[in-house]
Amino acid sequence: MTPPVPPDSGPPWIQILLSAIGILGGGGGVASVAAVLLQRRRFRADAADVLTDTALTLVQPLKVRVAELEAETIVARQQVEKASREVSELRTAVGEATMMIRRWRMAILAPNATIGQIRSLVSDTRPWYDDIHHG
Amino acid sequence: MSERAVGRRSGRRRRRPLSVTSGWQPFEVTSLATAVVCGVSLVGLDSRPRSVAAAMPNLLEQIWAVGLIVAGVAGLCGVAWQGQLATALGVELGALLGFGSVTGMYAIAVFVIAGRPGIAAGLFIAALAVSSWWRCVQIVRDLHRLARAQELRHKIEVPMPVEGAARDPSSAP
Repeated sequence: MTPPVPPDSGPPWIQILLSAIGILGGGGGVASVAAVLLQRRRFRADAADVLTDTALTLVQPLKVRVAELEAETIVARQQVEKASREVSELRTAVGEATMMIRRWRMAILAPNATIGQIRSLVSDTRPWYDDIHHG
Repeated sequence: MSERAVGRRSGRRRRRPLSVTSGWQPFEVTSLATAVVCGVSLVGLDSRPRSVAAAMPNLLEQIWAVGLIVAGVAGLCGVAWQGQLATALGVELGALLGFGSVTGMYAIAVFVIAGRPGIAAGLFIAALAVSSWWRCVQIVRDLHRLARAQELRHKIEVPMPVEGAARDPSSAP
């Protein structure tokens, strides 16, 4: 640190230094504005291409939310596929059960039905009955 | 800065928008507005800080005070510019170069003329100069990336990329 000097007289080198800085700074500023303005075509970009970081700050939570929703959509779609597969399996099982009941009913209501025939018919279909109950 | 979120080197670069650091920040806006108020007060009251009066020739003093106003007004215009991005960045760049040199001159004058008692004031003013030049480096980097993006578009002729297209098309239903 230089020793304090009387306030109304600075050393001559400081005047030269500050003049140089002022000329360099002012000239550099004007030159840079002129350079950018003259070459504006080089820097042209469509509005959709450029996001200021302020805009990114606004967009970022939405992007995170969209990613979450996409993940949730994938899970929900898998659940729907699984559920529709189960529905079709159950529909098949219900169809088979209905057919079975119809056969039993016909066998029971047959005019020459005997208890032995009905018993043998029902005991043949036992495995299917177990399938339904054990899933 | 949030621009790290944007991929720049990978093959998806063309699909991502370019992220530009905005100058609309509390420190920058307040510093530039203060420069305008300070310059108008100095010119209007025809008063100068003692260190400036001691360290600068008379003409340079006038230029310095007017430079405060010009740099502040131009910087605020550049920050608030709603038109073409390169124009805004260019005006802001020039204004901040001027603001940096004006504050740097003041800081040197305070250091040299006031000596040790001026350390705190001089350091704060020098911090303004350093932050101005820092911001200038940011602006130059953003302008360089803008120019590079423009060159790439001319070479590749890719249709206009938008943010929604950044998703992998194979993930679409």
